Amino acid sequence: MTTYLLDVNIITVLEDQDKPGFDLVSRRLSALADEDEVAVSVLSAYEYKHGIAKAPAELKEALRKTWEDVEANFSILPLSLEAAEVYGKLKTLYELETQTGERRLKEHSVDFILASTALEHNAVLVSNDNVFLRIREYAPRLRVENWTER
Amino acid sequence: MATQALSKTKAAQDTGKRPEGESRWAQVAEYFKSEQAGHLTGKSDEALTYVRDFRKDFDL
Repeated sequence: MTTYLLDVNIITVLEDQDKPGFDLVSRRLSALADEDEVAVSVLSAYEYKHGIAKAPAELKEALRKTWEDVEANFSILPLSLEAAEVYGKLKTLYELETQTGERRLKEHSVDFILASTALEHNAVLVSNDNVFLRIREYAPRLRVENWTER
Repeated sequence: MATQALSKTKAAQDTGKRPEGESRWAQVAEYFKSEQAGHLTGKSDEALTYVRDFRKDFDL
């Protein structure tokens, strides 16, 4: 059994059939085994709800429906103290090793939380954000897949 | 295709059984393709451009 943690950028592919990558994401989802689990972080809910609030009126209903579909079909993983420990160490290691500036590091705070959540749950992090490939260099246990690529 | 998948899903819900030959996640993927799912298809170009630009933050 494998747990897949979907980044919000994968959810935004599922909401938009015309978006490049929709068929690829759909195919990867279809290919999962029945016993596999698919989850999203509660932080992705925060990001997505921000997107709904900011969207033009004519899109709000469709976006709300997409999020309902996400909640109905996928698990929502909470934040945890265990993942917070991982987050603290991983972000510090990355900061020291890459000499990334504070501003840039802050921009990726949610990404480090997602990576820590994936590590805590031994989940495969599914994203089309290349930052996770860089984070993985400092967290070899982190498994990352991009379902929008062949 | 999507309509067929939907009717299979509905049948499965009615009977409590999964459509034969379809995995749990294949059904979910078919659902996201269906008209029942929330979709941006058919919305105005102006609205779609706005939301896609906003989403670039997520799509680095």
